[in-house]
Amino acid sequence: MNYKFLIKIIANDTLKILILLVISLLTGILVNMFHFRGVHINFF
Amino acid sequence: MKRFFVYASDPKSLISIIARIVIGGLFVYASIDKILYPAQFAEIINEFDLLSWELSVLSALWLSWLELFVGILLIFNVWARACALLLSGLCFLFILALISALVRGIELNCGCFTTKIDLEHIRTWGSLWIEVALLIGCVYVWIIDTVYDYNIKKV
Repeated sequence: MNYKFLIKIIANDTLKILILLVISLLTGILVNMFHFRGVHINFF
Repeated sequence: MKRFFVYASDPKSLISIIARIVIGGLFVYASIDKILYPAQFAEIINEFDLLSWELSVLSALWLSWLELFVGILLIFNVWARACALLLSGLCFLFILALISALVRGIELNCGCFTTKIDLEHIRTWGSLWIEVALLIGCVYVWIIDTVYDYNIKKV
């Protein structure tokens, strides 16, 4: 396995991971803001 | 034995599909309780004594949804390589957190699958072994997907 391919794979995966991280963070915060099932935690 | 390894290294083989479904399913199952009870999960994260309360709350809100999304994607084999890499990283972080808790003598439940705190059955070591098993599974999925994509030269 050559390094070029491995770097390409990791760069490709990193982009997808970043998308997932941002989407889940936004979902978590939005759901918390809209009091999902009556559960609400105050941030700071 | 060699034939088994060849079989297991094919992402389309039954063993690989089962590995993806089991790992994805476990993470989806683990996320549901955390999504329903984020405050309790934040308390569990806070017990590790690694993050401030504000960051524990943020992590509780973040991690539960992340586990749900990544678990579902892994089950349906969408972005499986990236998901396996992300889950490997998460498992590695959980393992480090558990080891740091053990070293500092903090006994706790990891909150991996439930947010109910059962003080009579605290299993820090048990939680650690579960995380190690999950890490091995995630790395296995990542490796077979990477090797498969390398063989067909697809990124």
